[in-house]
Amino acid sequence: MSYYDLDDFLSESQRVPCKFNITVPLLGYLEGTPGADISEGSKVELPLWIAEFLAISAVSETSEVGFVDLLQPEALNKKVINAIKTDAVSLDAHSICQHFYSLVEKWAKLYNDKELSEVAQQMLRDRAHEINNYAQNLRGAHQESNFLYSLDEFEKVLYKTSHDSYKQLRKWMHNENK
Amino acid sequence: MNGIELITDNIPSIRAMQRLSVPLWFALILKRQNKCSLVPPDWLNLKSLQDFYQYEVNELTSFAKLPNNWLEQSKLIFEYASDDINDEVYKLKSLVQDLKEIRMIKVQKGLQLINESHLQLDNLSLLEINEIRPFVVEIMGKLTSLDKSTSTGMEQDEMQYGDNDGDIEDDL
Repeated sequence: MSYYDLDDFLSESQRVPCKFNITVPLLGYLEGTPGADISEGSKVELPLWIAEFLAISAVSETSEVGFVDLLQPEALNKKVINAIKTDAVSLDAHSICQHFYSLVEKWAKLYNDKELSEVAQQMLRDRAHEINNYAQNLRGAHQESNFLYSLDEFEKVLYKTSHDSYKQLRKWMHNENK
Repeated sequence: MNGIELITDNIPSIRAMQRLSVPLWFALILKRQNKCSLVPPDWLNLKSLQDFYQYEVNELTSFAKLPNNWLEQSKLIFEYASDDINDEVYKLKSLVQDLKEIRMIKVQKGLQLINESHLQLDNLSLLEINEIRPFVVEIMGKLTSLDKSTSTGMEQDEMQYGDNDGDIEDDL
C-alpha cells in the first residue's frame, strides 16, 4: 500500500469503539460535552489510527494500562463473521464497512487473529468468483445489480480493473480501435 | 531478394517459388503486396483445431498445448491471409472462438482455487494470461497482505508469481 493511498487513509479513519481506562481532563467534547472531563470507563468511538496508538502506549512508564481499551467494531462481531461463513457472496460488505478488508487486515495485525484473517481470505475467494463473472459481462459498469452495490471499496477497484481488461481484449478481437 | 540480417531474426535470401520461413510481420508485408502466399502454421487447420478442442473437452484439469500466441497469430492470418487457408475460414474462426471460450471457462474454474502465493497456468497463452492478470494480481496481493497480517502467516510468506511465465518460455 503506498504512502499516499487514499483508501488507506479512509480505512484508517474508520471509527472503532474504545473504552477509556483513565479520566482525561477537558476531553469531554468527544462525548458531546465540551469543557467537561472524560471519565474513566466511558465509551467513545475513535478513528482507528489514533485508537491504535492510545491502546498500545501505556499511561505512564510504571503502569501497563493503556489509555483506552479497544472494543470489537460492529463490522467484525460474531454476527458478521457467521454471515460470512454461511454465505459470503450475499453479504452486503459495503453497508457493513466500506473498507472491510483493510479493517480486517489492521485488526488481525493488532490482535494476531489468524481466524479472522482466514475468514476474510475465504470470503474474498468466494466473492472474487462472482466479481469476475460480473466483470466479464458486456454491458459494462452501468449495469444495475444489488451485488455490485454490496462490494467494498477494494472489491470495486478489483471489479473495475478486471472489467477494463476484458473490455480491451474484446475490443482488440473485434478490431474496434478507439 | 538478398537476405537481411536483423537483430532478432534473419530473413533468408528469397527466390521465386521457394518455401521459406520468415517472420510473420515480414510475410504479411509481402502478402499485402501480393508477392507471396502464406503457409498456415501446422496447428491452424480444421483437423488439429478439432483435436485441440477435443483435448480441452476431455481434459478438465489441463490446457491443450497451443502456441503461446495462438490467438494473435490466428487473428492476423484470418485478417490478411484468409485466402491461403485450405479449410473454410468461418469454420476455423468459430473453432478458435470455441477454443478460447472453453479455455476461459476452465480458467474461471481454476480461479476459484486461488490462494495468496501460487497460481499455475501451464500452456496458457500470453493473451489469456493478460486478460486475467489485473484480476489475479489484485486478488493475490490482497490475500497476501491479509495472510501476512498475522505473525504465523509472515513466516510462510513466499511469492511465486514467476511461475506463470516459466512454463510459457519452455514452449517458445
